Amino acid sequence: MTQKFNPSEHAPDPEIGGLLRTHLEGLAPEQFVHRVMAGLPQRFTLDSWEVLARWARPGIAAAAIITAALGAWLAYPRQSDPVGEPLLELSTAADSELILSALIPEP
Amino acid sequence: MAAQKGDREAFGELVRRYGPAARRVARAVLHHPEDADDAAQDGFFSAWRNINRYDPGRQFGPWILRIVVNAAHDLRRRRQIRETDPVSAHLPGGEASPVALVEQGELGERIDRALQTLPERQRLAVVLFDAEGFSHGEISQMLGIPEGTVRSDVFHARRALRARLGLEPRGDS
Repeated sequence: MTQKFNPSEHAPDPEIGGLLRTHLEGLAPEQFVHRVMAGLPQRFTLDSWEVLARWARPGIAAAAIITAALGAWLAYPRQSDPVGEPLLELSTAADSELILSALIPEP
Repeated sequence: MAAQKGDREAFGELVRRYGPAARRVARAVLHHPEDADDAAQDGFFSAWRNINRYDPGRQFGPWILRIVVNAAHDLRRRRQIRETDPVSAHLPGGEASPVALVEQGELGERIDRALQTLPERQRLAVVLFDAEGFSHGEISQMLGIPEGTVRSDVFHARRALRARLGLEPRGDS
């Protein structure tokens, strides 16, 4: 079955619209507004100073912890790093050749 | 937008302005006025919490109504509200409680029954188009369905409502 739409279908039907508005209309519109506004959850609207103030305390605490840790690290003598030490001291050129050569030394 | 800066009064103005449409749209999903008001309220709470996501360059109406439709779906899931079974198209069918008839009036009762015979998408489409005045394109974005589908839904919903309410067929229906 094909549907035939005509131009009047593009405009609201005032008769149906009026009936629906009247029928679906809730009672006491102002009461509804009060009801909504009374139950409206609190939203936090902070300006930038309030935001900064909220961050200040944890920020100061974090800075103090970092400063203390840095101070302790600098104050104590650092232990030698075994990884950074040479495995053996090379005193002569022959030693150095021995170590660096890929060939088996002749007897 | 002042409400985006946390201005409650400004948000209150938005509730005052878009509250009636939000309640009607929620009612198109949930049928029951109390459930619809709960969903509309949930929608406004959600909008307030997420107001920074709203693009002030666009219209607020479609944004809030999309949230309200989602809130109505969530509420239905949470409360496991059963979709009212479609009733017979014969009007006035079934037994209407005298209290409801007194409170709503016979016409209200008939409109309610006629609406309940429609699938939810058609109900929303016809309410948003004919009662709230949104365009097919806006409704398409709100409901996340193609514009042609919206057009077709409005067409079928109107035709069904007119027939079930005993109204004269319009040019398009």
